[in-house]
Amino acid sequence: MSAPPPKLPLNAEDRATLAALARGIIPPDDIDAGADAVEAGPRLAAKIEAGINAGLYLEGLAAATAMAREQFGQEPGQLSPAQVHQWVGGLRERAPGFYKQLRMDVSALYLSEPKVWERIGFPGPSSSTGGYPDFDQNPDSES
Amino acid sequence: MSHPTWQVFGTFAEPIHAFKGMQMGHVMVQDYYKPEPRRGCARGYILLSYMMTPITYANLSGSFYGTEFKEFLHAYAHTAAWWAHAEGLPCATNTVTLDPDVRDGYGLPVARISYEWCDNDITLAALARDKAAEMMSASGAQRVRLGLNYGAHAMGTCRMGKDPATSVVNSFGQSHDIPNLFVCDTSTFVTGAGVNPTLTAMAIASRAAEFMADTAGRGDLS
Repeated sequence: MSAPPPKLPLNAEDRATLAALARGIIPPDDIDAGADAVEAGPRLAAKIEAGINAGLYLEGLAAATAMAREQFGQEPGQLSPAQVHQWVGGLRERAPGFYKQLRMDVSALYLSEPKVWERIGFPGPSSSTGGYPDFDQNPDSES
Repeated sequence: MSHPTWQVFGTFAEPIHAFKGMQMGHVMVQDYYKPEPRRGCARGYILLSYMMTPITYANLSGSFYGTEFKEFLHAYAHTAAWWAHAEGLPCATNTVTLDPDVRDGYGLPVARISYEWCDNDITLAALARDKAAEMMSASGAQRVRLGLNYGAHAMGTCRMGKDPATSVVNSFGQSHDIPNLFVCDTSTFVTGAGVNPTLTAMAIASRAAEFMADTAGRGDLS
C-alpha cells in the first residue's frame, strides 16, 4: 500500500484499473455488460480528471493497484473475474471510504441509464406524464 | 440525537412495483412504539414502508457487490422495503462544543460534534430490524435482506423543559436565559421520538410564533 497515488491525467493503467473495479461492482452476465454497458470506467476517469473526488480516487487507485500486486502478483487489468471479485472484497475492508464512493458512483452510472431502467422494471421519471398509472387503471402495464 | 435505523428489503416472486406513489409511509406500523419493559431496553420503534428510486435503492442496500449486487438491482420491481426506525435517546457523552483549533471564515471557532449511538439505540434498532425482517417474511417475501444501518435526522442539544437547570428552552421554545431568543426546530426534542420529525418541528415553530406574536403584542418581549 506504499505506492504513491497516480497523477492526473490518468494513464492507461489507471483507466484499466478503474474499469476493472467498476466491473467488480456490477459485473457482466447474460443480462448485460454490467458497468461496461454504461462505460463506467471511462466516465469515472472523466469525473476524476474534472476534480470530482479526485483525491479519494487517486489514493484508492494506488491502494487497489498495490493490493492486486500483493494478492495476485498482477496488474489490476490482468485479473480474472474471480480474482476481481476477491480483490474488490479486499478493497472494501482496507479502503472502506474509497470503496463506498466507488460503489455509489458505479451504481449511479448504471442506474441512470434508461435501458437499464427497462431491464429492472423501472419506468423512469413520471412527472411529465402526471405520475404512474394505478394498477387498476392500466392493467396491461408491467411497469 | 438521531434516529438509529435499518433498511430491510424483501424480494417477492411476482412484480410488486413498490416504487409507485410516494416513496415512504404507504404503511406505518406503530404497534411497537409504546415502551415495553420486557424488551429489555427503553422506548420504542416504528416501521415505515420505504421503497426508493433505483440509485437510492442501491445505496441503502449495504456494501455487497458483484453478481449478488447485480441480482439485487434487477429484482427492483419485485422488492419492497421497511425502514426500521428507532427512538434515539440523548446521551451525556454526545456533545456539540467549540473546536479549540478550527476557525471559520470570521475567525470564530467551528462547532465540533461528538456523537455515537448509545447501547439502547443499538439494541432498539436491532429489535426494529428483526421485527421488520419477520414481517417481511410473513408477507411472503422469498428473500429478506438486511440493508444499511444508518442514522437519520439531527435532533436535540436545546432540550425543552420547565427547569432551567435541566433544559434550555421552555414549552414555547423560549430560552430560559435569553427571553427574546427562541429555538423553533428539532433541537428542542428531548428524545429523538420514533417518527420522522418534520411535522413536530413545524408544530413547535407554529406554537412558538403564536407565543411570540401574543407576547410581543402585549409589549412583554423586547
